[in-house]
Amino acid sequence: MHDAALDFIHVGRNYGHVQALRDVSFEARKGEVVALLGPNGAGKSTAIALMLGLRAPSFGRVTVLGEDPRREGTRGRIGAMLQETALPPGVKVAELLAFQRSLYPRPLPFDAVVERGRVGDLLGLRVERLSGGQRRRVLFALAVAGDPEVLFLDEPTAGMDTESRAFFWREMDELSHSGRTILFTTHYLEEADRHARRILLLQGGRLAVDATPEQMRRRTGESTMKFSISPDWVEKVAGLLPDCRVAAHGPRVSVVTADAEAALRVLFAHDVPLHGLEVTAGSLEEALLQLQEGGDDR
Amino acid sequence: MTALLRLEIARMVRNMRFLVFTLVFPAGFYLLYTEMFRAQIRLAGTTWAGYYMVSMAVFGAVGAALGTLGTRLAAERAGGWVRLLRASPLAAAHYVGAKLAAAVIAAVPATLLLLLLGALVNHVALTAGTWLGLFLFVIAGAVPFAALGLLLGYLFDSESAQAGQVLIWLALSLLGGLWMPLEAMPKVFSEIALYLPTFRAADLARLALGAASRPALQDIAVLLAYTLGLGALAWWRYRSDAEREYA
Repeated sequence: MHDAALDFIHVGRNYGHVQALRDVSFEARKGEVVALLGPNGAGKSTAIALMLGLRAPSFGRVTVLGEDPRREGTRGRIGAMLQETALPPGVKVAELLAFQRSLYPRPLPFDAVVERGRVGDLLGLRVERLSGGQRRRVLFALAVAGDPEVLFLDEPTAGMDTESRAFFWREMDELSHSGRTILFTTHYLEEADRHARRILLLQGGRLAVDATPEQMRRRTGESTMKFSISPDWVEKVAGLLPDCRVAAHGPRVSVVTADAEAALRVLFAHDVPLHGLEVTAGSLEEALLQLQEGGDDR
Repeated sequence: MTALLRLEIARMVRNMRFLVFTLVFPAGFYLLYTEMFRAQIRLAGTTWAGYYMVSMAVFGAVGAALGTLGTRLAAERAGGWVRLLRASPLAAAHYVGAKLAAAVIAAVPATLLLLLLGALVNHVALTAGTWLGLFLFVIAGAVPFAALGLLLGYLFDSESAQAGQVLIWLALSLLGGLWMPLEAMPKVFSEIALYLPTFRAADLARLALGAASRPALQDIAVLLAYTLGLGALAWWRYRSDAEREYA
């Protein structure tokens, strides 16, 4: 029994003379949550198009659940939420969900689709009247309507407010616990850090990194400290730690440093009234930036 | 496929803006021109009222079949809805089949309206069987235009589709002798019209009135050739579109 949910074997894809993907190989097990990261134009959308069966690879082989995604039978086990999808005007949300369910061999019950997507209040609305955030919810409901074993989500949380994002990730975590394989792209690195068990970084069409978030963070050899502090202290903290990068996100301050212990000793010596301290090895953002700068030098 | 067809019909009923044009123009012309010229004048073995009723029914049916697909399909391609459907288990042939069926169904309101106006306003008297045959012939004549609409949806982008489709509707209708009988136009037009699906669709429908000017088999052959030819072109565009759209 082959238990790879996603399998790329030396996959390349060309568009005319442009090589969108070059010799990409990776395998994801069933139930894995994978973040596909990379700058715009790195090949993320192409990789997703290959996995959805929208395109064929120019070289190599792509399988999803051990099968060719270009077969309709395989697509019946896959769900997708793609970027910027305009829904067909004139259709009510309930009709759209019913239609989507009818396409799949073993769909979720209608009520379960509504609950998963939190679209109960939208059912009677025509799709052209939906706001951006409501449309994302409907697109997510469409993606799960067929009760897919593998879910592809291309920037699923773009344009969502904080509450919707939190709800969305709770749903994702639940789906992954029940054995669904999820592959997503995002511009919010903390989402990749927190929810992915695996990070794939594409650069210039190549797979530059295949690692856990933990391994990624450690690549920089730096640590990130996060704590809460009153706003008037932020500048003072920055002054005390000239060798560190200090940034404030609302009441939370993050400090990236090569030596977390030394920095903490300085802060405590000056009686800085910080609370809610967290220290993590490395920072995903730093690791990605360093990798991308390295990539540009080539 | 029936699920998609139901969805398409629901959309059609809720967005009648274009369909209204395919009702108002033919009905308006019909009433105007049968008022201006004597409705009971004999023409090609029938009355002007009957002859022009068929012309305008075909005019409306063609507009509806063309218009349902062209603009909408171009917009759906641009908006990503087609891409999402392609990622679903919906078979491409079912998608195309449902789209074509919806376009042919869109031709029903205009056809019915014109036949009603003929019967009630201009007192065109036919047997029940003839009315039914006439209706079915007009609808059958709309099939190649559904295929043409499909092709336009793939050739045009969402902005130019509306203008392109209206232009083609009007040009094909004028040259095909739907607006005025070919007998009233310079001779060269009669020769062009023989090759146009609009003329053939109207000629086939007039068979029901016993007023066809060409053998029915010839009409059917031309309409079939257009359907298959345009359908094949649309299919080819659909395939190459799949290769381009997700860059």
